[in-house]
Amino acid sequence: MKNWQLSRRHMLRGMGATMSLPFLEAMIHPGEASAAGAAGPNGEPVRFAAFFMPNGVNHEQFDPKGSSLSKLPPILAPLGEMTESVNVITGLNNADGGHAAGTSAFLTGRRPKKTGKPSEVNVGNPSIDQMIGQAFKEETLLPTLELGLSTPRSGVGMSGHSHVYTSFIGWKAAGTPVPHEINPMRAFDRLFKGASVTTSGMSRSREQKGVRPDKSVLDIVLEDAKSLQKQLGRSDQQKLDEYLTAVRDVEERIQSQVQAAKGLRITDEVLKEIKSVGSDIRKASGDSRSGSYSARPNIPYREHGRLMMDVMALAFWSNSTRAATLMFGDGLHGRNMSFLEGVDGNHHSISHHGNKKGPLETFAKVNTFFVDQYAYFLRRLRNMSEGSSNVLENSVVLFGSNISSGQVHNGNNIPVILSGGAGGRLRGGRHIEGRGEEIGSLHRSILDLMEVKGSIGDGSGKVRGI
Amino acid sequence: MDEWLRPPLLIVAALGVALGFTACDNAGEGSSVPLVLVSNALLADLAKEVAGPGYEVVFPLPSGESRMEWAPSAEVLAKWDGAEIFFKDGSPKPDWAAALEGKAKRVVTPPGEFAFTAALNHRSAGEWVDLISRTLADFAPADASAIATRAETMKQRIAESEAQWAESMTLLGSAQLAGFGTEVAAWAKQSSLEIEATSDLSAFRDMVKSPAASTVFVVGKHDFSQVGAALNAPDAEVLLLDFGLAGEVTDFVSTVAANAKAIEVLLKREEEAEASNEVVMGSRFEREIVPLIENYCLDCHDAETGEGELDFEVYLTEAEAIHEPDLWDSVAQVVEMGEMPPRDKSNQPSDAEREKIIAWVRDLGARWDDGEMGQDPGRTTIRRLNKNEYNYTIRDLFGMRIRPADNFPEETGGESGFDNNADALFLPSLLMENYVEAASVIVEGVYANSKSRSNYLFARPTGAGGAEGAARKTLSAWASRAYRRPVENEELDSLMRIFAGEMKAGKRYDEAMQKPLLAILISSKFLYRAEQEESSRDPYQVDDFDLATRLSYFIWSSMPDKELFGLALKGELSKPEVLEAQVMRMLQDEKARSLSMHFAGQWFGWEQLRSRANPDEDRFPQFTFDLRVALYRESAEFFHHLLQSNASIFDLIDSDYTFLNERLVKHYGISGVSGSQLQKVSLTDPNRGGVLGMGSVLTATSLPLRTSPAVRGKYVLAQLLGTPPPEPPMNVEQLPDDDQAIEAMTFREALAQHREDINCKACHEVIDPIGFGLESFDAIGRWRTTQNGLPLDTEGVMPDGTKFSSPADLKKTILSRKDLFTRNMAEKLLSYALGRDLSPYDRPAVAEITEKVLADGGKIHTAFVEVAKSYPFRYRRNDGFEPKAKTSETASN
Repeated sequence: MKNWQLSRRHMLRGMGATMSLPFLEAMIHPGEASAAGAAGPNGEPVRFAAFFMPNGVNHEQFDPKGSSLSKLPPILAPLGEMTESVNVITGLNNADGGHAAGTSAFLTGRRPKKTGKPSEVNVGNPSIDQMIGQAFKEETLLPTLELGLSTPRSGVGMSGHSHVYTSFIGWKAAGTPVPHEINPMRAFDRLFKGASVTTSGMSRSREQKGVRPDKSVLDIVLEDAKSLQKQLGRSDQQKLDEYLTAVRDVEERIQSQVQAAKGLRITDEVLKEIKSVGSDIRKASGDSRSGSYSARPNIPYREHGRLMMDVMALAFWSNSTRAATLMFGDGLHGRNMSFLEGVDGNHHSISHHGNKKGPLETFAKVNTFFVDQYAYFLRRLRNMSEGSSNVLENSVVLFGSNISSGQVHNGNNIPVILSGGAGGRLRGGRHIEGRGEEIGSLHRSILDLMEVKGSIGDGSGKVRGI
Repeated sequence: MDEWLRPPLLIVAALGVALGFTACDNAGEGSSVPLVLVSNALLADLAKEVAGPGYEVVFPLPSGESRMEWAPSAEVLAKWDGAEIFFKDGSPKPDWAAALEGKAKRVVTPPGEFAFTAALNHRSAGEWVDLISRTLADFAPADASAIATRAETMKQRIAESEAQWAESMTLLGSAQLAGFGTEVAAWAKQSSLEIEATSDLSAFRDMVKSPAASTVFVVGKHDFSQVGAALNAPDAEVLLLDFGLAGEVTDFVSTVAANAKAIEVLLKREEEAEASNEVVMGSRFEREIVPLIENYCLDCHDAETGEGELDFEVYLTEAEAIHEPDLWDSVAQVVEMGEMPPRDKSNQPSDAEREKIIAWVRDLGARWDDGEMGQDPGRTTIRRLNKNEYNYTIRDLFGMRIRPADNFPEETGGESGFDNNADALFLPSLLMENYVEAASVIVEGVYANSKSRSNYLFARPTGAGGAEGAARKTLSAWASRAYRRPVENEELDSLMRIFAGEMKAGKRYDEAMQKPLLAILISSKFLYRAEQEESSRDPYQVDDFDLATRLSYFIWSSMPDKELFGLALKGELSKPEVLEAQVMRMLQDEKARSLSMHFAGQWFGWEQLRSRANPDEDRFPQFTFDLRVALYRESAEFFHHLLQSNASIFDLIDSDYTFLNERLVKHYGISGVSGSQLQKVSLTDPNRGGVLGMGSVLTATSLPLRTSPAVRGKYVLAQLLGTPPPEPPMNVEQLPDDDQAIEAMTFREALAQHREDINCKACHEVIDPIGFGLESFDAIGRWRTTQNGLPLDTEGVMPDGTKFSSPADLKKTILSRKDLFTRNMAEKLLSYALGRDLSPYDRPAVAEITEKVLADGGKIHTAFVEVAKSYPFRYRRNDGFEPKAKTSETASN
């Protein structure tokens, strides 16, 4: 642990780098992290990322044969060059099936309450990313980072579940979903807006000129809301609770920023990458003529995903967050996938392959695309050096789906990949064959790897071998 | 009728009651039959059943006495002299039990305690029965076979009750449980159930007051008074428990008696409710409908099979059935369409029988429409401004042309699909950050411009009141506008504290006024629409300020303007004629464009051009961003025109005009318009007018590479007529996504083949033929006459058998059901206006709006005026209010 802190302090002293932070009025001097939780061999923090691929997988071309990954099935081929960091887990059951319920069960490990009414949605417990984020919120700029590629849905799904379930994998509390950012520019800005470096070390960005709320303002706002809450009926109180929690979160963020910023790790390498990604995103976002006519950024799907993963990878490298998620689409993802060679149609329809040869092939191509995107992220992390290893070695990167296969909507045997070295605690290169354990067992194992306390999912079992 | 009876009542009867045990008292005097003593009341009951009438079986404890403290006199003990057998179980025995040992000729003392514990060890009860029957048979071999028969019966009853218990436990496992008393918690631990238990009576009452829908109240043995409280809890099921809660059975008798009494009360109430239902409704349902359900539906839709997650067994009494009008509507729909019973079942109802069901459902609907089931304005949860509302509110508050909320996360929506549903408007921390950022940007914007700055700081510190007076005046005015009602002193004091802090920190007046404004903009009173809560048990009118806010967010998605505030201040807005005039004024304001984009956009689907609609770029290179925007604008402009000119809502189905620019004219293959400006264009082609002829809707109802007759058919049924078909089963194969991938047959032929699938047939035979009528429009709304190189067949048929062969015909057919379309519009509009999903209690309002609009030839303003004047729009109620059905005198027919 000491080694890493020393070497980083050394680097920082040399760099004189700084970032301007969204809420911060004061100057920030990046300094030492108070590394809590699991750590790599030299004290590097261990991060958690989760990727959500909707609509299941073609198991024939996904499930590896045998217990090693020496021969990869076609869908996993994009992972070929880094199987030593990858584990494929089969035989795990999601806590619920279906496009809607399976989506919100994916990271919570619990069967959500069946309801079409948003007022009644309940997923049982917070999602694993939120639990991890909460555990490290004192020392991270952002406790969690939620990214996605499609806008949320309204209404009720075929199974009678509210589309609130279909739309989100992240849940701050049992009844409070966490939305995701779909615009890479905004995601980037939230983390790195005004990132700048000068020889003297500091510069203040334009964004900080305006008046900012301070503790006194927030306290008064909180007080006011509490007195409002007293006048309201019971059914309104939960909404006001959300407000109170959110204001407190902002307050905490402001207060802990100075401390959190000390955990930032901005080397010139990182800064260079920040600038490069920022410029990529600006280029891809193009002119802003879409304006209010477009609810989602007009960027080709593959590139859109990669830009989001760039931001995610940078958030890890700069140690801005410990937990990040990306939804490649909502749980009923129906995007046109015809940009892929040999594929015509939308993701959801293709997933209904009818167990016929041709459609199964097409489905496999779509699955392969998502694994390829995932592989991009793993490569990105692997190329980010950190101490004597790299960020991938100090991360746990989950990939999975809401359902087993598009044709069968239950959550039995969902496709799962778990990559990264967890700071030397997770060995790769394996096909781990589960025996019908619930996804919550995996989450508990991951919490162990991260040294985060807390209970998640039903039961108490873990996945053997992790 | 008692409302509390509405949810299915679950009574897990205590075992003793279920078995028909009765509490036993002293033995009869001077009995000539053999006397059998038993040390345990429960055991005594068992023994009595097994022994039959030829024995006097006695648990020698007078009712009401405590077993542990009772010290019977020698005189009393003498009563038991000459007992034949004494069954003495292993539980700790007080002295009197020991004293009895000497009185019996034979003492049977098997190991172990006989008590019903939480686990209710029935197997051991069975062993006891065996033991008793063996002992008695030994004593009187002549009775052996009769005793054995009774013992078998007894064991069977025990087994049944065990099954019943197991079932109850399963039911309990899925329910939310709340209980009173420490015993409940202890019991919960043993039974592995999660029960929220409290020993604090007021806390328990609170639980009782606001139960979750599936809450079951577990009431301990000493808490019979709380049973009463639980019974008054709406929507809660009641569970009575006695055994196992206590470690001992000392007051078994009183417990059973209490339970029996409770159950008696429950049953009596149920009977009364049923009796009163009979008076109100007659039992037409039981006489005419129940037999049909039993004959045609229960095979699959019962508790056991529960096909489609529908169990008719719980709706076999009129009292239960009438509370689910929405369910019955869908039942009538599938029965009418012939989807149910499934066609491959040989047992099919006759046409007359189908008509019987449909007629009953229709009458039930009419009863709801007439308000017979009671009045309930409903209650919208405190409602956060959504993205759009935030943008427009900032625009109107400061007169600034900025859209700070464009960067906020997208909103989700409720059941009816609108993103202003209060319950679906969550406030995650990310959004709060966004609010803080936006507030910062707005304050900066206000200060950046000298006009807006002096507009904000209208009171100067140079006046008589000095800086403080000016600040107070300024903040009072702005907070009132932002909070949409006159600011209260406490609220103002809070803001002034911030101001004072800034002044103290040495800021100049103008700068010191920044943070208070920031506080206003992130205040819960600004971000949420909280309505005045009156302490009233009955529904009450919303006050005029809340009415102004309801109205302005309904029609403008924004804050009230000066005129509305003025009328609210004078208390005049709630006058019907004033309200009506305001609605008309507001609809013709430019700000009403929000309805065209957000209300109509989400209802008819052009909103999807902003997000989900994604025609394939290679197949449809014509579908450029400009075209996307133009199609969206055409639709929004069309709806806006209806509002501006008070046109008929039926123009949405068919019209001889639309709004086009050069790009759209080219797209639709007509001529006569140039430039990018939209113009009102007369249509000569009868196929084009109305939303079904709009490229926006036609694109939103297509897949990336092809049209989908099924999606379009469903669109007509669901979005236009408000009669959505049932959802498809989950495990179906989809047709190829690309119509060009189908060789040597038309897409329609392929679809016909697909429909042969038994899973798909019933519904698609209804849905697809409607979509065929729109096949002349391709996946981006262009006219076509061939598909896949083969001529198109656009012959279609409606569920009622009406045939058509072109979009124009289809529209005519839809217009023959103006009643359905109008009612659907009334529902959508009311749901949008209220920011919540509708409940059956909104049906009277929906019916009235529908009737008025139809009577007025479909004038669109009438629809808005009637929504604004409706009961749920003008009234609200507090939590816990339960509507009461009208009394039998007024409602009987």
